[in-house]
Amino acid sequence: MRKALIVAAAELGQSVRTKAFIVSVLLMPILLGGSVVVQRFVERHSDESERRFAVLDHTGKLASGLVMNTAARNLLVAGRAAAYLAEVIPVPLPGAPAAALDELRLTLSERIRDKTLFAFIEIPAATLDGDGAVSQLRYHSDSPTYEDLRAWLELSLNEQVRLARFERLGLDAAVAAHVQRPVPSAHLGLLARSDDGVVREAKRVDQVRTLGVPIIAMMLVFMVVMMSAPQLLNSVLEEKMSRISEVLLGAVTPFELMLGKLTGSACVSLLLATIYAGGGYAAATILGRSDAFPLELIPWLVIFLVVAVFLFGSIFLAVGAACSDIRDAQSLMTPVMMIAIFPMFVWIGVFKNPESTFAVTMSMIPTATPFLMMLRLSLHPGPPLWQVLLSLVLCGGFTYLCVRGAGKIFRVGLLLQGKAPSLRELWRWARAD
Amino acid sequence: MTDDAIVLDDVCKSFGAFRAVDGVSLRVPRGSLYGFLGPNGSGKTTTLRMITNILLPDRGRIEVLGANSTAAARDRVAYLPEERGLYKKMTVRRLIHYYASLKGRPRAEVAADLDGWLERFGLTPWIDRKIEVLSKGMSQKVQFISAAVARPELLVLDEPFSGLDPLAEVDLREAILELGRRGATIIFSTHNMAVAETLCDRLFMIYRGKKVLDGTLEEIQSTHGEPVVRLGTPLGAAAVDGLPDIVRVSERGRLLDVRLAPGASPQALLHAVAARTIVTHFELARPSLHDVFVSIARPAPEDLRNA
Repeated sequence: MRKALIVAAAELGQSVRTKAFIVSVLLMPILLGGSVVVQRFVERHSDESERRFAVLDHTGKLASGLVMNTAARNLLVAGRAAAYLAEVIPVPLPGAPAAALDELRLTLSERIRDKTLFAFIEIPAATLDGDGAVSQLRYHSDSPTYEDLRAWLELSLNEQVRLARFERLGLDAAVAAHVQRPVPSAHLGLLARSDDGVVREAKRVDQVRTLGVPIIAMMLVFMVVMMSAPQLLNSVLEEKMSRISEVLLGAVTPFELMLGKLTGSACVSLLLATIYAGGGYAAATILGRSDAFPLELIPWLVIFLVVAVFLFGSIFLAVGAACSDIRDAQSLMTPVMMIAIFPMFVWIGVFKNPESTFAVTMSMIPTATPFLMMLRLSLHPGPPLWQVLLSLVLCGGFTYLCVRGAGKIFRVGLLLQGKAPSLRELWRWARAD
Repeated sequence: MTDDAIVLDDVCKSFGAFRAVDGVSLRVPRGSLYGFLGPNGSGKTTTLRMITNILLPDRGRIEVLGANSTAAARDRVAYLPEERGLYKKMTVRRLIHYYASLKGRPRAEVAADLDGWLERFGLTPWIDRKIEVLSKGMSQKVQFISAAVARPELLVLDEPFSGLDPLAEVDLREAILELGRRGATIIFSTHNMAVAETLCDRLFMIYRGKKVLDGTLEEIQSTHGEPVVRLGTPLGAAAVDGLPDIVRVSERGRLLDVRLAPGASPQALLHAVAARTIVTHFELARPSLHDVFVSIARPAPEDLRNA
């Protein structure tokens, strides 16, 4: 065990001394924070060009209101979003040949193709009557992914249509607005009786704590495991290719070597998690939201992180020991990575309904437990303790089998050179006595 | 305590259907310098790996430094593989301390030994440089120091001289002899027959997994191959042309190596040649280790036909 700890210390020292580690520790928050800033910047500044649209108003009553709304909107969003310019096009009189209207639509389409117009909207004559399909607004553009203008036109015109209908029915607009005013709901927790017997009022649900923290906790485990465990493959492959493993095996047993490497990797993971979680706590404190930081989850975070590193790390070590070059290793890595990222495909379902059979089942799958059970533990009110313990037993047992099997593959593979073994051969090595 | 540092008793090791080591028995006396010879793929490295407990034998018994389990003697044995086996990104100091700590050596003692060895090899200025900036010769010396500072009772070196320039080779030979003088048992494999002849107390040769030679140089020379008559004449090979009882003649620069038929008299040959020309050199020479090696390891004609 003493030698395994020496290997672990060397592994940790080697990892944290590399420029790659320092860069990745600093880079990850910069990338994450930077992506938010860039996203905001892009949202604000990617839509600065003018959008000119034409209006074909067959009702003859809505176009002028739309022009006014457009001007008002432009004042409101000046400097933050693209300005809209409305151009009212006279429509053919009722009774005019249908071909004339088609010609007009075609002309406007050509203008859109020539980039002198962005879109045009046609308001059917029956719009104010409110007859389903007939009164559908027809929005034409050559930019199918740009939804902002269409959505705004629809909102603006519907507001006008509603007012026009109230007026037609003789209803006071103010009364109608009062009637239509929505009743908002507050999302609250549960009431409880305090020690002095007083019923305490339920607290408002904290969006950061209930939605943000669980996702961050799960992603933290996933990200840290994926940053440290695959490094084991590179480390063992380097040792094998440069015959360092022969020197090491002259001093330690293969199992001590593997255990040392896994322990070192677990320490790297815990260090990374401490840096990120500590940074998060510092940021939360500065923002006055340290109450949102779930200190009670830290022991679980440590347990699941260590289990996940041992589980995936042992598999990566076995793959590294079995291969003689990085290309062989990559082909064997693919199925392992598929298993590792599987929880990322299903976590939304677990998040939305953490007590469902689906969520319980998924969090009991050993390779998904460290991520999905961490997610469930962070979600209020959290899973029953028996489920957490059962998942830990299952995951711990599976990890033990992985470490044992990987140890056998490690022992056989470390000194073999040449062609990489097939998955079937690996399975045979893992089962051998 | 036994006088043998290593005892191999009918040791076998196979990889799949290939038998790398086949029933090898060997005793390496304590304090000796033992050379392992054999062509590529003959089983040298596998034997060394079994001695250092990197591989386990399929059959047979291995005793190292009096311990029946080679694992028990692990901290008293140092092994240097053929390739360098060094972390490129580590500094010399960290690497040597790491390897020594795995052998259970206290850091302070290692530091004291390290200074001496680095000075001896002229590597003191490189102590805090990364391995990747060192030349092959320097790396080889660092590898040797990493083993030496562990103060091993048994040092196992796989091809320690391959790829070294003559100066680095001399340094390493001196260092190996120094460790030997301090009482360590040293075994090493090599293809360099001159090194083996001058450095080793005893020699062991393995061929196709089986032991084919084991003993001192004199024992091997006396038991393998007939002596040859080394002749110097102005006529060259023509001086012995047509003479009886000659099995083979090979030119060796200005001298001739003449192998006689068993029982033939070198004296009679000398008389016959002297009757033809002037004899400038006459010597009864033993076969060199190189000759013995080649005569054992040269493929038999039937092997070539089957290849």
